[in-house]
Amino acid sequence: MTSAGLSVQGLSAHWDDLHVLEGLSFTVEEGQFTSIVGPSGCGKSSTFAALTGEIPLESGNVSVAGRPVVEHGREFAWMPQSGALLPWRSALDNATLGLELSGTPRAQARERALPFLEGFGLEGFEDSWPSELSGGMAQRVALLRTVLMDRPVLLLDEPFGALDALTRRAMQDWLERLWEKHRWTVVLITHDVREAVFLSDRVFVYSDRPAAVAATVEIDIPRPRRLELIQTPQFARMESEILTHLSLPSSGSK
Amino acid sequence: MRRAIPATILFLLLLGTWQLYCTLGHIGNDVLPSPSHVARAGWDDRGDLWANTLPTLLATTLGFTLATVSAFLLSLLIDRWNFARQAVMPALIVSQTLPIVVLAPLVVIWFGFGLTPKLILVALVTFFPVTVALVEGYSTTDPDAAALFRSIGAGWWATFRKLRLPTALPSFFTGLRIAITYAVVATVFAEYAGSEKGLGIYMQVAKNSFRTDLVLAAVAVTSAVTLALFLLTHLIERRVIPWRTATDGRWEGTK
Ligand SMILES: Nc1ncnc2c1ncn2[C@@H]1O[C@H](COP(=O)(O)OP(=O)(O)OP(=O)(O)O)[C@@H](O)[C@H]1O
Ligand SMILES: [Mg+2]
Repeated sequence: MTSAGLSVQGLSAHWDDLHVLEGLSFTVEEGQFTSIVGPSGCGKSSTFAALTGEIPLESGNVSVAGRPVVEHGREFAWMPQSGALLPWRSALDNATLGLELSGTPRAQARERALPFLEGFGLEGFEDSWPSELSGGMAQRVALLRTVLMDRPVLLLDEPFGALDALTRRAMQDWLERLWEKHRWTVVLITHDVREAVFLSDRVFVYSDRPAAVAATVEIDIPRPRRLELIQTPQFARMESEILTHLSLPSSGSK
Repeated sequence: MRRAIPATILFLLLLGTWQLYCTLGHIGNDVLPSPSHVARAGWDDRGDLWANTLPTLLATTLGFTLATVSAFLLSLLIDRWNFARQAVMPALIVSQTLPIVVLAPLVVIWFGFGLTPKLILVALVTFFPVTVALVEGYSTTDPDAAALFRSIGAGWWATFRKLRLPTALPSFFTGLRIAITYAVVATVFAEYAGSEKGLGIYMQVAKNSFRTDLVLAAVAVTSAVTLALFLLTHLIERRVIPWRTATDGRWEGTK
């Protein structure tokens, strides 16, 4: 039943002189939620840059749904770390940007977006400017833009990283419920180990730069998952396992 | 409107000081006419003043429009091909070093007393600030947004129209406002050097017959025209950039 949604084999890449990825390999099953955690600056965002074609690959193979990726980008719906909402577009027009740029007429793109507005908590804010939205709402707009592109794999770069702790918890809970409904193939980058455990089926722990997968942790906690789960011993065990992997390679600081 | 109050107070204070100085100091009206005298003289000659304001206004807006349109086209080329930037920018900068006082009579000798020399001078002084404002505006494009466009597969034109151009708009309007204040003065310069009609030649004639009051009246009209055009760009900006006024002029995307 499970097939390889995304398979990455032996990826190496540089930003100019900086060696960021070295023999990076991982597999994400179709309809699986995976997370990448790792030290700051180790090359997590660079992984997405390599997948979307921002940095040229020196070696390695990427395939989506069993087919090798030739023209990068078409398979991936990428959400940048900053969200990158356009200030001159209303919330709704930001959400439909991806569709419009892929050639869907504006009216049709809006029609596609409408059924999602409620689930994304954006009803009544369609016409707001991004500067008028709360941080959480702005991230939901960016997420909706990503989802609407209807591409096989979602690449989410720290979507909740800039939010306050309370809003972040609420967003994690919201995303979990939403994902259970849609079962997208997701790769999520996060600094928040708890977030990774709570949302994922599988967590990749990166090594220091140049990045490779230092450890893979399977999260076999059944769904639906709710926030109370965080209190359970099973959850704490997974969390500490990841933290151990994270602190292994370098100093030993947490 | 309320923001105009301090400026108005200062303006009236300056006029009042000038008026007092002339009245109390018994300065002759042919040397330094008082504001009230200038106003009266201007009003008495209003027909002639108006007939000379129109050609100046026409030349200014026409030259300005021409310069803006060509600045936009050139900015497109510069943004598309780095080669164009390297070729054109030095020439543009040199164009700004030409002393317009000296240039104006020459342009009039070459192109006569009609509209052409005025258009050329206006275009010369406004083309540069507008082009630079656009090109620098494009370069402030959010790199994340640019990468997003690439990841979606957007082409050059779509990226320009939907990302780079909107990004440049605030900078463009700043350039536009700077340019419009130069534009009226440039027209007056061209007319001063020789013209059939216009505020510049009006000043020239008035000066030659020692009518300082009429010179100053024409100066006042010139300032008023500049100010009006300046405010017009503000009004247009509000229409074109509504997302900025929505948050009181703050220019922030999201975090
Ligand atoms: N566009 C770029 N050009 C040049 N170097 C870059 C670029 N983007 C990232 N880098 C460099 O690559 C290295 C890895 O960066 P990357 O953004 O992948 O880290 P990260 O793991 O996502 O970090 P963080 O957790 O802080 O987001 C960093 O040293 C960074 O300076
Ligand atoms: Mg990053």
